[in-house]
Amino acid sequence: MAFRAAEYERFSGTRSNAPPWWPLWHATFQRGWASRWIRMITFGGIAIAAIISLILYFVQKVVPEWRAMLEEMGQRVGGEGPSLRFDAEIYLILLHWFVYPVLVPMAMLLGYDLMAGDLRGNALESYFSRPITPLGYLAGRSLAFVSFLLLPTLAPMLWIWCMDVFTAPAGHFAAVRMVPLGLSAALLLISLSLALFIQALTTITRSGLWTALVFVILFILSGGIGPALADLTDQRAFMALAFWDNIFSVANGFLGYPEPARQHAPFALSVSILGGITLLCFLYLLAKVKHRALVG
Amino acid sequence: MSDPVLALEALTVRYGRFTALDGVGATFHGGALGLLGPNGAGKSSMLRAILGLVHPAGGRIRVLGQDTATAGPRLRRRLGYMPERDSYIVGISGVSALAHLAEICGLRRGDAMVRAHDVLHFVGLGEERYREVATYSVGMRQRYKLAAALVHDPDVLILDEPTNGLDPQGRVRMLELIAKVVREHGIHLILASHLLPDVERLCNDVWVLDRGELKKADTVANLTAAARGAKRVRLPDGARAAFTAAAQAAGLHVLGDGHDNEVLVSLPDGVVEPRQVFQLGAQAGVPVLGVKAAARSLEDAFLEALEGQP
Repeated sequence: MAFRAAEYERFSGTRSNAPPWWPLWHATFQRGWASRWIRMITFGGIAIAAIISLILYFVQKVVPEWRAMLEEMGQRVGGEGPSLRFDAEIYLILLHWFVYPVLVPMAMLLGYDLMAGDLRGNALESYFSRPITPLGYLAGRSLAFVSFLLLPTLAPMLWIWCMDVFTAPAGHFAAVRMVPLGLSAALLLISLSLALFIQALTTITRSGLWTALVFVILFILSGGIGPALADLTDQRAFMALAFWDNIFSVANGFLGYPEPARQHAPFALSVSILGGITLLCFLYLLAKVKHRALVG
Repeated sequence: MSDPVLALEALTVRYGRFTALDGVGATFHGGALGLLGPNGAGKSSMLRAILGLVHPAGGRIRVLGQDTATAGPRLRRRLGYMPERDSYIVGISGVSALAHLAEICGLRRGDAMVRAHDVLHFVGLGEERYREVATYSVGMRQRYKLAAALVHDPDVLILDEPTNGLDPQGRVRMLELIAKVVREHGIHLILASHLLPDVERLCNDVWVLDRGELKKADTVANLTAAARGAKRVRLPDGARAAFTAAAQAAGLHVLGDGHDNEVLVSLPDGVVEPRQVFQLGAQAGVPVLGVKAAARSLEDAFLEALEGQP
């Protein structure tokens, strides 16, 4: 390659027609991948999927009727209560395994300095003097963020679903056919709201450490206040103040389970809360970015 | 005739109630244009309006024949902007940052990386290209910003105070780099600066701005043409107004130089003879105490424009 040209040369190659936010998506993704912690968490998510897939495969080979056995065992243990079945309910449990140890820490690690860094280095002026618009910038950054969150969560869960369907006897597919759609919708909404919320926090605190602290405090506080108010007033809608309960209700609802017990927030309210957080954070970030780029 | 590089029609830019540019109209046909003006004159606002970073409250801007209001952001592929303030991407090396910025302007990934290396070598940051920009010195950051403006090979280079914070040696090197790009590669330059020697050295056209208004638009050659024939005239106290009126009526440019009893008189193209000065003094009823040759530089022209003289 023609490096080390001490003289300026005009560019004679062809230009790409890719949208300007595409390089931003790519760069954000690369930046995330450069973090050792993020790589470890991603591999952790993939490893969980691989282990569960292998277990599914071998159990199916060795004890083909294990699902019926598990159900029977569930009935014995639970009595009249709901039996334990390897259908959408298992995916609900799995989803929580992926949300708390994988998705939330990943969101913190990736998002804590993404836009705060751009504001600190005044990079927005460099971006917006190029063909990218504030909306394109936000789209590039946020889509990469969400893609990164879905890679070690949705992808392994879909892989587990595939292995489940391929190793299961005929008829099991009918019980879990809506699972991929439910998982995708739940994880997309949770990831998008987290990604935008954390980015909005970083633009306020301008510090990765403060963003992490504020996020953890809000998470714990909301998790305490919501249930406390729900208990005091006997109104389960107050549970929607707890971030974790919204995640639970959204996952539950999208996976096709009926309205959960009264101690959880209603599905529609939780979707509205997460959707509202997403929309508000998006509008806030767009205004912030426009203000910095177009007036600053 | 090809389209002008930049054409402004009654351009007005406002930030809330503050008017940064007020009905500016001018045309730049190509080469190198210097935007001169004191702080707050509207230079940066003009650059930002050209780039579409501020939306004009009125008027039109045409860049390379395209209306910025309708051409959309793709027009910015052809513009290279060096902002006055530091602007860099944190957490990645200089060369990666430049390649990333070039990709946003449509260069393919491989081409973008090659150009990033080449341009960093061109500005003299070849050895520092793997360092994070945040660790660069002030001078290195200025050169990095020039490289960022050039990396996608623009047709118009827009520089906002490119020599700010540079030591004399760094300033000379920066001006050489800009001159090389503009003169050898046909890239048009729009340079905002309050440093007149920088503009005089690089530009062929000059627009003088003050408090949001265009005070003068001319070539550097025209503005400094009278340098050879200007005269500094010493007058008694309180006689300046009468002498100025007589001189202006005779078609001379008159510029105060900060002293109440001295003015600088010049012709747009020609030599002011001492005899002519004494005749003006006689006409105005003012005794001329002294006449001596005075160099009339771009600085004089600039001050003259700010004083609102023709």
